[in-house]
Amino acid sequence: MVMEIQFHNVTADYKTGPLKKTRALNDVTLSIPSGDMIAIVGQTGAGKSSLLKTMNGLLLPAEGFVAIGGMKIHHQTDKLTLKRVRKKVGMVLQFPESQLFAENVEKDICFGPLNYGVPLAEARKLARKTLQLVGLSADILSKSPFSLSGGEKRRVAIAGILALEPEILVLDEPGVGLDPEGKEEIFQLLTKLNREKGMTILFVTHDMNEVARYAENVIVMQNGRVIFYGKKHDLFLNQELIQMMHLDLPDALRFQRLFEKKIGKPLPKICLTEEELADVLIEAGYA
Amino acid sequence: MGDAVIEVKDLSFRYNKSEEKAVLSSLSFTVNKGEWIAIVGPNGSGKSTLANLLCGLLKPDQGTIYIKGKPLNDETIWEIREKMGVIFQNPDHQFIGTTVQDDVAFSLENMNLPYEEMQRRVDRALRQVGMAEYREKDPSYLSGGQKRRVSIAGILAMEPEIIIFDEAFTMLDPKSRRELFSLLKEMQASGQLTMVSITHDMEEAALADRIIVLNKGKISRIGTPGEVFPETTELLAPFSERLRRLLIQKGRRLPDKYMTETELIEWLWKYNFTT
Ligand SMILES: Nc1ncnc2c1ncn2[C@@H]1O[C@H](COP(=O)(O)OP(=O)(O)OP(=O)(O)O)[C@@H](O)[C@H]1O
Ligand SMILES: Nc1ncnc2c1ncn2[C@@H]1O[C@H](COP(=O)(O)OP(=O)(O)O)[C@@H](O)[C@H]1O
Ligand SMILES: [Mg+2]
Ligand SMILES: [Mg+2]
Repeated sequence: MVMEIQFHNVTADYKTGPLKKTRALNDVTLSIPSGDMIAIVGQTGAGKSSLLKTMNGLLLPAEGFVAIGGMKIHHQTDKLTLKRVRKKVGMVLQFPESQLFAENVEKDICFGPLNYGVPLAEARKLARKTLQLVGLSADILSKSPFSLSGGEKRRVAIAGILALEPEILVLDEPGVGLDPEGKEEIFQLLTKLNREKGMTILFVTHDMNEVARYAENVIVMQNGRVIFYGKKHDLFLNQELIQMMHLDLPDALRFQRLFEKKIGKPLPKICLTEEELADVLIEAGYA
Repeated sequence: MGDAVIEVKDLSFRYNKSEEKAVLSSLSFTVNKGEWIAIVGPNGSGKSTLANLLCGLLKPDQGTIYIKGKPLNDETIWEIREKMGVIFQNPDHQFIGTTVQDDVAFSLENMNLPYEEMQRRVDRALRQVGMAEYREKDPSYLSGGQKRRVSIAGILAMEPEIIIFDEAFTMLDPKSRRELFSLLKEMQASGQLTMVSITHDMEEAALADRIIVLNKGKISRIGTPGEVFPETTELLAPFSERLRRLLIQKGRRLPDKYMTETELIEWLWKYNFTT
């Protein structure tokens, strides 16, 4: 099924007092085709987490609506529709492992499906399947989630969401707090879900290397607005936009720019990863 | 050495005292005045446990921690806490104040400062982290990165001689991160600040004076970036080191030692002349 995500003039607020509101999204119009792998970037408070929350119905639009595969999220969307939305759009919050609670991994993963009326036997099968999907072996099913490593805990938390078999997965800073190995594992997993299952994936990050390595497209936000949605190359080539949005360049391109300044001319190709840069440096006779 | 600000001697710790395996076993190292030490290591290697021991929230099973020559214990802890600030990894920083500025001011509560001085410090710290315009806001209504900045402001306002950061710079956007780094670098360069920073970011660790690599509760390496990086695995190397190795792997002849970005750029530039 095609699961396009459409934002139609969406404005969203948080109520911060009896009469006070904070605007989190400001007139966002956006159309995300299914199967995209998107990084969301922007300064602190720009509205990145809020954008994810509206896709999952955790934050309802004050004006406008979000359409996802025939379902509509607006300020009066009923509970039943929201429940259907949340099954289609899996949301992985920041530090999702802090919400693990059950005595063992199996119960934790089964919690979601059971909540959606999946029979126990079925849910347990799903638990095994998703555990395999996130790259963990079945013998941790009986372990306490608290006894696992940081990276394992996060994968269990993600498995809990995947057990609902969503078609869209949105994640808030999924790499934060993990060691380089754990981070690599999480992003390998996301890449696999995107390529093999065709899942649409949106993740928030402040790390431009994660954007360069793992995203196809980028959404840049500022003051509750979407300023840019397009190819990562087009973003990183647009120096004016990078500066205006106070973003960084990925390490490889940052290095390339410093090097070009030193040699006084551009290299033949734009490089976003060290592999690309190494090849270009050799080709151009600098190593 | 006379200017050791932190001295850790033979430190061991277990959470579960009945267990034999220690979370930290026989750690010894010193941090000198004005130094910036990065602590790196995989999840679960004991980094946060060490941070908690250094600020006296946990008590060692064995060994002693000296802060400015004084052993850390129940008698010295309050005096030492005034000199030392810690920013914890836990993202659910508990806000006490009902406004951002009150929350920062609470961190100064035990210091008996005159009102004007307190006001001055709170103002400056909020400006330093770029949160001045949020001073009147309720801190529970902030985004993740904004909360993190407020908790850093609380520590800066204390003007401590030592700051321990436990993965404190994650969740900050590139600009806030850059600004905070140059501020800290400045404070450190003037010799007024000693920093211990726990991180998974090797570009950040490459900026430190020395790096401690923790592995399964033991120090597996300690030294300058130049000493530590050539021996680490690929995932633990900063960009310039990964690029150097990659070029060697592709059959190029590069120096067999760690190079900073500036050194590598210089080398590549010269190579083009000489061939
Ligand atoms: N629970 C909340 N209650 C009230 N206001 C909030 C809440 N969460 C966020 N805000 C406000 O909404 C706006 C957008 O916040 P959001 O959390 O979406 O930012 P973000 O881009 O995710 O930032 P960060 O990079 O710091 O996580 C900000 O002005 C923020 O202060
Ligand atoms: N409060 C605690 N109680 C019991 N064990 C803990 C506690 N905190 C951490 N541990 C355990 O101690 C070890 C080191 O953890 P930690 O210091 O948090 O590592 P790091 O910060 O390097 O990821 C891990 O095995 C962890 O599970
Ligand atoms: Mg956020
Ligand atoms: Mg830790």
